[in-house]
Amino acid sequence: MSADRPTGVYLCRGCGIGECLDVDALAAAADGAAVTRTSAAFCLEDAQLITQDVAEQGLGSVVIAACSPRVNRQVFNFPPATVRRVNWREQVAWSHPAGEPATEELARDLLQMGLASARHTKPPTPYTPDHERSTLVVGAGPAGLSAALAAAEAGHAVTLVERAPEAGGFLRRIHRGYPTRAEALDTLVAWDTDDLVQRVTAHPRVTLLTSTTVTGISGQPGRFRVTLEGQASELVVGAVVLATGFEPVGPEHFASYGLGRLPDVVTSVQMEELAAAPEIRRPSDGRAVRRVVLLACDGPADAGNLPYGGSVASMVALKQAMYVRQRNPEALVFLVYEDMQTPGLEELYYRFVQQQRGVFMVRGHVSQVTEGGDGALLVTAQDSVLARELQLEADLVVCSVGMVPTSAAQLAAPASPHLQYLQGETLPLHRAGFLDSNFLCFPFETRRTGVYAAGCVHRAQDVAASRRDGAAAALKALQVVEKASQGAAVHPRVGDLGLPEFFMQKCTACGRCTQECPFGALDLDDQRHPQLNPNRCRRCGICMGACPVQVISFPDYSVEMLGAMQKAVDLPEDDDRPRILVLACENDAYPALDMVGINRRQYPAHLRVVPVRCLGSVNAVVVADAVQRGYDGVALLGCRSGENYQCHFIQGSELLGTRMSNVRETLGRLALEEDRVQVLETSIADAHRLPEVLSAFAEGVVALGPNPMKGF
Amino acid sequence: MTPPETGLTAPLSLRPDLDFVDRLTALAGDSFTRCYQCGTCSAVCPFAFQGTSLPRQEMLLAQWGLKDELLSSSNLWLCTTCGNCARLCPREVDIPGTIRAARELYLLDRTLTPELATAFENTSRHGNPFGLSARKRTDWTAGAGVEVPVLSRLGRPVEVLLFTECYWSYHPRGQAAAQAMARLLTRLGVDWAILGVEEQCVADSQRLAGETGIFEEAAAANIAALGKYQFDRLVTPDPHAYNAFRNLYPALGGRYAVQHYTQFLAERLGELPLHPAAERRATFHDPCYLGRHNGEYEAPRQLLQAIPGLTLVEMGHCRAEGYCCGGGGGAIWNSAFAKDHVDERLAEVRVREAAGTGADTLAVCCPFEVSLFEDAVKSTGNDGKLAVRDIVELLDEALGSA
Repeated sequence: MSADRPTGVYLCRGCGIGECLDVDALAAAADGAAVTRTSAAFCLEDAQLITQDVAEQGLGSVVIAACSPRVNRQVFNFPPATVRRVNWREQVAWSHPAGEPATEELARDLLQMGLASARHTKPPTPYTPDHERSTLVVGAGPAGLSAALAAAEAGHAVTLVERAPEAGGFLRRIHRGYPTRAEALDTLVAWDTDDLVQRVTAHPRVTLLTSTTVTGISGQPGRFRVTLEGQASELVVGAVVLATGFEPVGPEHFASYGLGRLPDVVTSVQMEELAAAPEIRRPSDGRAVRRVVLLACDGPADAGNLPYGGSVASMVALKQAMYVRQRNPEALVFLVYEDMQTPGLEELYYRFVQQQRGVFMVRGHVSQVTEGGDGALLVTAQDSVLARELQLEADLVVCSVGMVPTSAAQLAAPASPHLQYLQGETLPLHRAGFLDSNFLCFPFETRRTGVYAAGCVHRAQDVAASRRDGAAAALKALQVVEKASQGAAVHPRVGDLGLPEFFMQKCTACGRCTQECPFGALDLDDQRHPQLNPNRCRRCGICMGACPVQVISFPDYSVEMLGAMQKAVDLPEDDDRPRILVLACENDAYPALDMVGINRRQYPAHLRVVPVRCLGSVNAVVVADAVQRGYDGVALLGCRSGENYQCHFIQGSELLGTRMSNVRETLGRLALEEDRVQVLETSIADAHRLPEVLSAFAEGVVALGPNPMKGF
Repeated sequence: MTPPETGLTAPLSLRPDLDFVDRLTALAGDSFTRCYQCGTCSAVCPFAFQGTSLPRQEMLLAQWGLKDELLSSSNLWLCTTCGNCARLCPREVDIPGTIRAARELYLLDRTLTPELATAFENTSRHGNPFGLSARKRTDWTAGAGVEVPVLSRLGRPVEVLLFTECYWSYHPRGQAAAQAMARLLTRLGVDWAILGVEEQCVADSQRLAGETGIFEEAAAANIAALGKYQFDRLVTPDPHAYNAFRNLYPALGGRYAVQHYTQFLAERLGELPLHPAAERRATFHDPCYLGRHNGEYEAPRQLLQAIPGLTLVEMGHCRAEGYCCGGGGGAIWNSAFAKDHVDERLAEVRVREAAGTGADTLAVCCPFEVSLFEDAVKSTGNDGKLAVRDIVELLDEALGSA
């Protein structure tokens, strides 16, 4: 392979590397290279030398031993040659003692690993058929309207689909909004719903289809085929924004508060309707209310209660207190709450309402609402400040009903995009029913590439936030369309042009790759072989890790490549030079290791770090081969798994956990200790702990003694 | 005045008395409506470890307009208005001011404890809380050993008017301090005098206990008496009087250049020929109304540090974080009530802290504190180990004139 694609090797002495390593001696180890050069700093004018070599000598592959691959990406980019980086700066010179034989051995091994990976790197073939750039927005509430407007104003055609006969969504059910400006706290906001709808429908690039529902979505980013029922029947779009909103929690959850039984116990949504009248009158006898109890962000302490809360319920209750006060300054309003959440400037509104004469804040939990004397209601609450039972008389009790995303499985008819995907027609959910995504790093993603969530199906939020959310999701939709047209991945491997390749002759049609892909990128063909939808793929390599017969590979990432890299490491047989392979996730673990070096902290020199795309991309065979070859230990360094996962590909680190049973089996067969192979979860925030974690692991491995397989 | 016990009691019916809220607001401002029950106040209240929920409970009851609950709370009368709560309140609630206002509303139609009622009556009738004759206000001057000039007899302006206030005038331990002050002023060659029998109780503590009427009458009388004479500055040993002269009298028409005696003496420190007297290891108790309420922490310390042979050690609770002696806000006349409601008097807690520093002397500069702390020294078993001395007495000792 290297014969077809001549390789240039460039060894940098800059940033302290030259002081730490004998770079000239190491250069001699790069045998077989068409060109070998050293420089005091390849990132400066000497980068020209590489460009020149690529052009003049026809280099197909460039290996640069210098700084971390995470920096200087634009500088070290030499098309058409592929580039491999050897991390001599952060992970050698900055984190290991200078001039020591162990440091020199580490640098030599890393260079050999870089050369090995270069030999297994092919240039990618991008997937670039015709692409559709328009966007489908589902749901014409505040988020959907805002998404449609944002995409249209950015120049993209938009089809906005609304199930109801009229656009506006939940906005039409809210009487007034709470103030958004600190200088006008006493002014409730009248919605510009009609104006917003008018602006959207009048936009030349927006088509609004009301009384229309989506019945199916198939295909992939850049070419989703959508079937509809209503004003249209078929569409092709580039991306989808889901803004299907929320539903208020059903009244049955508030039965113990008398909702549904006592006519003057209403929901906060009904309160919006009551407040639309000139005077707030109670439903039972039409009398104007004088005493109102608002149960803010509260619910019976049972399993039916929502497992989350937020500032919306608090702000709505504060606003509704003002509904009552503005109509009747003599009225009394009691706001009973367990958590008052008014973050940021919302605090000002809390303070404003709290200081209104006749508004009383009661921190406590409601135990029951019963009929009192004289047609009044009697609310019994346990006050958590005085630790006393309180009784409040009221003409009207308002239950704050929580927001359930329309995606939530507990709804009678959860909103579904009816995806024609092998993994099912709904989008995977996180706990509590919101669409699953890596909320920290990719907040608008769903687990279906090209489908973005906005508004209350994304997270419980208010109108203003939903509008912002809609605009943001629209920009993600434009981005995926743009990337798809280049054949490139969206984040986290933004711009990656390589795609998984399947060596079908060896495929056993087990279908495991199609099930484990977190993004549903794979379908099955008629022979039950995997069939890739290229633009759905995020290039995480989890399919490659899943395949029991290792038939899946990428042009620049494969089981063979990882194998070749581990085999490039010299495994000395003397006891005091143990070798530990570290397969480090490139999303958090590898940058964390870089940070250790940036902070000039040290860790054992017998670790050999191989970056992997995700722990989920590590095929069990890679680990088994390493221990069989004689590595004294293998550490799998990746993101946290489980409920509060931080895996950038959602499930990768969790899947690795299940694959570890295969690895343990291999260890057992070889009569090797299980502790030689461990998964170490870490995050970028744990970088300061890494030297201790790695040292402890290394010490544990050393204590087990050398791997007896060494040298066989 | 039985406390509303926390825990399982009859349900509390939340029927707000908006009129009561309005009246409280008129007296104290509406800052109490901002309280959001974080509980910081109760954590730093000197009664924090005595099982009370002072003052967060009172702020809540005030917000809710639960007049009977608030006015029947024993906490209302335990509070010494020391102000540590207000210092840290994130909502900047005037907690002592709200407590004071509630007390004022209490007095309208409710019965006081006998000892507080007596103190009020004495102040009203005799111009001092002890109920002693106004003519005896100058009795202390006889033992001073120096001449004590009285303004009415001098018939000319003076540089310094020493406004002795009641404790230095009548209480035996206060009188000793007053006499020491007289000797110091004489030794410094200050042109000074006292108001003598024309002086009346400033009654700031009575005001804080809710008796605004007595305070205003006394202020009118004092302002009238002071108006007859000319003096450059008014010096007082009582931080409560200092607080009133500084913060309240101007609005009532009495504007004076007022100093606490420690501030006055600290300015003259270079002129004091202090000699090494006894070796002392002293700790200093910041009076709430000199320190926290009026920001003076340095003057008393400067005086103490100037005394040869005296080593100053600080307690953990010092300066802005000073711990109350238990006498402020009228609590000094309500000790039997406090005893019924708390396990340990604040003065006892403070004396234990002072003794814990290894000090042999507890230095003070508020006339309430000498008697409170001396009692507490005895009741905590520190008799003979910890001496309570007014700073002026320590200075007098160092001058060798005692």
